[in-house]
Amino acid sequence: MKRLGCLAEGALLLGLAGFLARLVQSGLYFQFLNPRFMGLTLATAAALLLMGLARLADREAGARPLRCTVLTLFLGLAVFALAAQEPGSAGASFGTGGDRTGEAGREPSRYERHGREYLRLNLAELALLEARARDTGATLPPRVAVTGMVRVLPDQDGARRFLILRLVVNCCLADATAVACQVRPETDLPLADGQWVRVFARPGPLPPGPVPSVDLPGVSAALVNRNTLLQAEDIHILPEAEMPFIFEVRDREPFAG
Amino acid sequence: MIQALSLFASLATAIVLEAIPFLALGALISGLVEVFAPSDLIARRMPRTPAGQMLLGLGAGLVLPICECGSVPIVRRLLRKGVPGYAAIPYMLAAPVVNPVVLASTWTAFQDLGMVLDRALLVLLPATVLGAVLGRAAPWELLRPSLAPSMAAAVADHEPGCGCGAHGALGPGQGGRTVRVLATAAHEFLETSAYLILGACAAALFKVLTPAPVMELFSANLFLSVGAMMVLAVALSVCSEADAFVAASFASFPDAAKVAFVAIGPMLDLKLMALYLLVFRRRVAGVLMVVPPVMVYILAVALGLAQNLASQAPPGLP
Repeated sequence: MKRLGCLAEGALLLGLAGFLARLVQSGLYFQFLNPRFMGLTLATAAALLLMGLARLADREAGARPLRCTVLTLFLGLAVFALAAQEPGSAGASFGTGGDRTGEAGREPSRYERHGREYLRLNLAELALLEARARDTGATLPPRVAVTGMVRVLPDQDGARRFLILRLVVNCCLADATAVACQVRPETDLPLADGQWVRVFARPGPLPPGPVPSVDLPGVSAALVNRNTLLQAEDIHILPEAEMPFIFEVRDREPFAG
Repeated sequence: MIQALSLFASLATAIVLEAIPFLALGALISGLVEVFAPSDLIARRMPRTPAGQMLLGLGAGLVLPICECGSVPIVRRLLRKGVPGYAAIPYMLAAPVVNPVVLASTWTAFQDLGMVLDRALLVLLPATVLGAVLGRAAPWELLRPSLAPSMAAAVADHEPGCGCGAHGALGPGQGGRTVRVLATAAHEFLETSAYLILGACAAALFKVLTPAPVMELFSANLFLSVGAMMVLAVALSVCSEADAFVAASFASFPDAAKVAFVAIGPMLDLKLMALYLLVFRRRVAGVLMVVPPVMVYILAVALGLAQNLASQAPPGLP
């Protein structure tokens, strides 16, 4: 029995090490953790591999049924979670855009459209610049380009607006915080909830009025910009969900976007 | 239904994956302590006075930072080695916050040195009190009986190979020291990770079932907002490096409530509750689960009231 116990627990540790390595290699790491931890995850996989081998050699120590059961169930849950994030899966939580974390450095710092220049940044960076502008009296960039998911708002007194939002993930999915900003399009554009867009806009003061709230399943906190309204000059509908999460927030150019 | 299940699975997996490196690190350090740190060496290096030991425990996180998940297995091992509770308990509670990484992330999230200092204070005070109270007991008296060495003969009834998982299963002479470290670490990791997983699943369930706007109901009242944010911190079980950013996003809540969120989380959350019950005697675990939230609540409300008074002071007065 002790021999079986050491085999079972050793196998569980090796299985966990294998799952971590597979996660890093899968291209879906970003669906769970900030990609800056990939190296740490691989190092942990190596440590668990060594621990697993040591456990296999540790034949005199018995196994504990509870920890074996819990770890087995967890591995099953984790494999299910990974499979559910595959592109096209019905279970994907926040969009299945491919891992483009390496592309942020290759995208241009500024876009040019119709002779105008737009500063590329993400919604969290926009909020950071806006907070700094309030504190120091500085001005916001005249034109910005932000990417995000649409949340259609009810038409209030003819003010056509929608929310553009994205999730900021600092460490893991569990700490995801939604950041959102209201957008007023120049023309009537049929948009649907969940559509991904890139908005080229002029940031301006938000008129007084109620600020909409954001309620996303699994997301405990949401920061809806209470001071800035994006006056859209152009809206580009993206064919698929881009990277749903913001993993990096910079306070100067080139912004993470 | 499949979306909800997938969300629950993703959240639980994410919480566990985030904590696992620190749990593994804590287990490895625990293994190193078990194999390479004889009890008499530790006893010789310890400050002699309780006050000195507490100061050591409170400040050790600055040189040996560790996440809250990793601190519990390390402290378990230290207590078994005879490190006084005066040092071990404050280290366990304070190190996940009072360390360069977390203090820097707190500053980054709030851009306010006052919030950083308030967070450190709201952690150091309960850590000091609990160190003073629990430090009176012998180190092994804090641990669950199955984990503590026998009072009479530490070797006869409870020794490597007994299968309790509390120490290296390979005794002296069995395998090299490296293998013994790894085998000890494996036991430690297996034991603590099971409870971590249970706590993570509870936190994920809470996140799936609780809509975000529920929290906004409590933001207007200081007493309710502090309590609500503390409950949220315990339930979400966010790591101490990231919780400041989550707290900062609750823009409508007073600063005192946000400080309470970031102070209580690293000392008590669903993962830690499970680990405390695993490692400590029931009464000790109960003290660890009651005293920090009570103290943090009182201190945070006092902070909030003081801030309200200061903001209402007539112009010209400090």
